[in-house]
Amino acid sequence: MKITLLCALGMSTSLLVEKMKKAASAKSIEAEIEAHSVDDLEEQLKTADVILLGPQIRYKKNELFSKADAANTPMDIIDMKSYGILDGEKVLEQALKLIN
Amino acid sequence: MNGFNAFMERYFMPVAGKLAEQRHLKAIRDGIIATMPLLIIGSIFLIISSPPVKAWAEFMKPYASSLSIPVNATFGLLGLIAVFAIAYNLAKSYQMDGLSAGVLSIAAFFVATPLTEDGNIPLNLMGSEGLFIAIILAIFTVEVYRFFEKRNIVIRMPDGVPPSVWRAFTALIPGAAIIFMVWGVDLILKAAFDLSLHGVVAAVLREPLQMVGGSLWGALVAILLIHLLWSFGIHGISVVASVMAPIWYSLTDENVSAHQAGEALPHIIGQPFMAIWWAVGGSGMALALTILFVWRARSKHLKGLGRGSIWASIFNISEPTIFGAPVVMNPLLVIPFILAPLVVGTVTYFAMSIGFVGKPYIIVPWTTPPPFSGILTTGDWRGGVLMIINILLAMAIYYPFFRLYDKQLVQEEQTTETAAATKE
Repeated sequence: MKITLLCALGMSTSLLVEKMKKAASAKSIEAEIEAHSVDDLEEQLKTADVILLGPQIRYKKNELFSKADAANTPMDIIDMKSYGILDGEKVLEQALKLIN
Repeated sequence: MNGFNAFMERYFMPVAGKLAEQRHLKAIRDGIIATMPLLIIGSIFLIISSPPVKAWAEFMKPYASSLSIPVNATFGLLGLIAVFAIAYNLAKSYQMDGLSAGVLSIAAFFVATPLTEDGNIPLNLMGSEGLFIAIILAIFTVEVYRFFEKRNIVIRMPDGVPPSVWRAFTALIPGAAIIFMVWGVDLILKAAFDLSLHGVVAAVLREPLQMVGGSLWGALVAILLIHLLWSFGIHGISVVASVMAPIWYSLTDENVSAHQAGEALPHIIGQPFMAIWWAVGGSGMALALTILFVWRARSKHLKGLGRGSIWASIFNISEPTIFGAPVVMNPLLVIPFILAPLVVGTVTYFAMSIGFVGKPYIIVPWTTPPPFSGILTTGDWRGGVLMIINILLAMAIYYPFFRLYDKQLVQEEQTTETAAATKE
């Protein structure tokens, strides 16, 4: 399973990725979690099982969601609060829920 | 407030989204970002050739002319590289052949460039002076190319011909048309008005845009807009830079040329000012707020958040602070969040214009921590002093608002704790 997080440059989401990896290993969930720039969307749509967007790029959601829809990849925006406090567990849950 | 937020989400967000995703603006931005590694490499040589320590700078003086070679090959080629990179990205966005478009646009760029009297390529027009015409020609090249392809006015090769061969042939007719048109316009301008395309673009586009973008007012409006966007949780700089980046880069490159020529630097506003100076710790001078969280917060939430996000903030990543506190949609923190960078921007501008600190001309990665970013961008140790003053100033602006918000949180935390205690 691969979870991809996208933000403007993939910088601040990479902080969250570390927390999510910890949360995943604590629950012994096998998941590949990566942070990328939103410009890599096309590339990520080929491999990711679910894509989460940093809230700061949600202004692009119309275009991003329609692309994800076309590729049949579930996509959602990360909750602002969980994003800010880097709540890896909650965001992981959000990702898992989207896949199921 | 809720109605206003809903209004912003509904009407304003899509506009910001459209602006950031607009094909041509995006190609320009990505094309200019492609020059970024070169500009940072060029900056390293600039720092070596004029280090912030005086004795060392004197020692380096005899080597200045050899050190200017790598600077000319990086900063000095900003326009030339941009024309290729913008055409490449724009063509890619149309799913066309990026390489052919890029190659054609370089040829178009040179057709439009007047040679020096002894028949050489003028280096000054390859840099930022040529950046705006590079943008225009890159878009022109790709759009004309696309027009021909769409109407099928291209030479098609039979199946079985290798792609590298047919690609070259497909570009032939549109390529010839593009070169012919640029050449024709250039000849007419020269014959009728004794002007070059470079001269016309400079007069009607580059100079007015630089005048507005390079003024304190222009910078303050940009800073205000960036922070208004962030107040709604939108990555403000991405949106604003998609329009402003060419102006900021060209201003900085003019500073570099002036520096190399040993002249006074003409601009304060430019890429380093807009990427570094008002954004210590990330947008909104977020480091100041994060320091307050760590140092003075009584609420568990802010204290914990501060400890978690201070390292990110030292490297100018502000999202944890902005979304965690949160600053976003929080009227109490939004006020200083917008005010602090405006004040810091103004103070920095005046400190530089009276000569307390050198004007910035060196481009460093935006993750360079303060106060080093202040010293490196200006090549002046006093830049570091000013940056520390700026952080303290921002802390003072944030402090009263932070105290109020912290108090609110402490009260909330106490009520939930007592509620939890009575439940047990």
